[in-house]
Amino acid sequence: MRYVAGRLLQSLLTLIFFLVVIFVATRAAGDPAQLLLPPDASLEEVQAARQRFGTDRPYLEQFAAFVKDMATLNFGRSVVHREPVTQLIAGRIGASVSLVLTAVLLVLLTAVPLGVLAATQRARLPDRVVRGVAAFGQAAPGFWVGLMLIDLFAVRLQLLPAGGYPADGAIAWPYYVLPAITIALPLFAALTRLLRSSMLESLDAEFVKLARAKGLSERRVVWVHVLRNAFLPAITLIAIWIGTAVTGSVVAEVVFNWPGVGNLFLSSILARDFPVIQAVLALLGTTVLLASLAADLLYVVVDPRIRIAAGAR
Amino acid sequence: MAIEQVGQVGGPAALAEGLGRQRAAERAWEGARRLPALPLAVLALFVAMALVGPWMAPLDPDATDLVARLSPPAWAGGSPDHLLGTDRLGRDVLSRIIVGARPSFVVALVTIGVGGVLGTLIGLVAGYFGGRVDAVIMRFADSAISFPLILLALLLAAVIGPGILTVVVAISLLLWARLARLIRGEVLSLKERDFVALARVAGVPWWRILLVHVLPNVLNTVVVLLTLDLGLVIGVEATLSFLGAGIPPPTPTWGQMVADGRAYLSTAWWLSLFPGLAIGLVILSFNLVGDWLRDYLDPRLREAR
Repeated sequence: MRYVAGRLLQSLLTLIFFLVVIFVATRAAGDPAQLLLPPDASLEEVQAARQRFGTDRPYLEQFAAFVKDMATLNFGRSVVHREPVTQLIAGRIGASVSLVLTAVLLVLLTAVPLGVLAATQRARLPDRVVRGVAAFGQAAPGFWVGLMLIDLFAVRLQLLPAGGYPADGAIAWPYYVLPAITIALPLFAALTRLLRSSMLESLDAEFVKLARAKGLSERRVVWVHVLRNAFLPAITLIAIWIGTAVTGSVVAEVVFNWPGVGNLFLSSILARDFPVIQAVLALLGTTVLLASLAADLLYVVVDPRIRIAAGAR
Repeated sequence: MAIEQVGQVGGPAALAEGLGRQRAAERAWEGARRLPALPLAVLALFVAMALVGPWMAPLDPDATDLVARLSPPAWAGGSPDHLLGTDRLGRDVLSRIIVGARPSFVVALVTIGVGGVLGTLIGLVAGYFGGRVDAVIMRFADSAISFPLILLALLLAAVIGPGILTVVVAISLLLWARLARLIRGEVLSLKERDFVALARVAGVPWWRILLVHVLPNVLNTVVVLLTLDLGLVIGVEATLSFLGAGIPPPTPTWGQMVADGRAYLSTAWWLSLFPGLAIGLVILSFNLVGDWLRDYLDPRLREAR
């Protein structure tokens, strides 16, 4: 229980840290009143605008108002799109979430069996191939992988669309394949490497020898006993994973012209559209935070050793 | 048994020392045998490009030649003057890749330097003093680690404008945290050892204990982690340049070259392919060298990554 309380407190601190960074950075960019008004605006006009934006109040008060706005999803209006930010994000979040979930599903479906294969076939051909792909996935930059996939599968082989979002009524899955692979590759690399090395460690452990001695089939030993134990370190990877997935999805959305939040974020960065920037950052930051919190809590549920160690402290 | 051994030449102490020395020599030989020669050679080549790129480039990387624009690589029907082809302004792709090594390596070295020094010092202090200082520092580190690096860099690019400074500040702001956490863990156990206690009893000031007595014992960890991070930093820099939030033109950077080739993907595949290969090759080499260093210098770190 103490462990859980500590983790919750840490998440809260991190959230405050995020908000302070976003607040300081967006305020350091200059007073919105001055950014939005024409340069020849009179002093009275500037004063009136500052009052409207609240930038004439002390910083602490502004920060409190900022936190309240973020908490109540009151993000203001986009400077570029002249639309409420909430509406802008709501129109794009579905595309982003469905893409990232597709990528995560793809990783789980491929990395788990291939990680097991690499560990059981150690130093043989399947192991070498899987490790080669993982080394490539770790090193190749996502934006370049995306472009090369387009070149190969869309331009040359003309098998899949080069990008964009499926129109209503169109068959959707071909549009997901290439961007999902782009996001999945570094995650696949990290997970197969981790699964392989932690499985290799437990393949010689006493509990595995016992399971074999009990006469269980080798398949059952590997897939149930060894894999379940090897999955524990993978759970701690999830926090880093989500960060990689978020970054990867921004890049993939840009490369594949995917109408998601990542694409909106980059165009807002380039246009210095701060209401959108701070809303997207707060959203993504909170997502990363909740995911890593969930991973840690899951760890407590799955691994009783942590519960005992934390209780004894 | 012990009595018999005393009679032997050199005695047990010398025997143990000899064995230890033999084992150390074996270990060194084993390490050298697995030396990742190919990745090291690749890195040496790229470092040379970063140092003396303008002299290595076969042609002027900025010279435009509109007659020879979008010329394919030499083996794919292009002219032998442009081994890897030319871009939309007729600039030589190979020369631009060679010259483009410098910004990548400058960013990598500066951020690794800043992040490395900060992370090491902060980790030393947090581990040594413990208690409240440690708690506060580690909460900050945990927060910094969970902030997605690229997003922070993009935010800074919007605020202070894209450029080398933005990239360096953004990456070092987060790089210190991972290092500090690991160093702190090492210091926690090191400070209980006798040599630290002896130094304290002898009246050595805390900063001297940390720098002279503790630091040398964590240097292996620092070197391994920073080598593994070099690849990460080069990838982040390339991604930012690709997104238009890194080092702005006219300085040629690999990420920006890949981005420039995007519009010509269906006609001039070489524009994006080769700079991307350069990025991937450098990152792969740093990863392989880092893995080897870790196994050689600090096998315990295997758990941490």
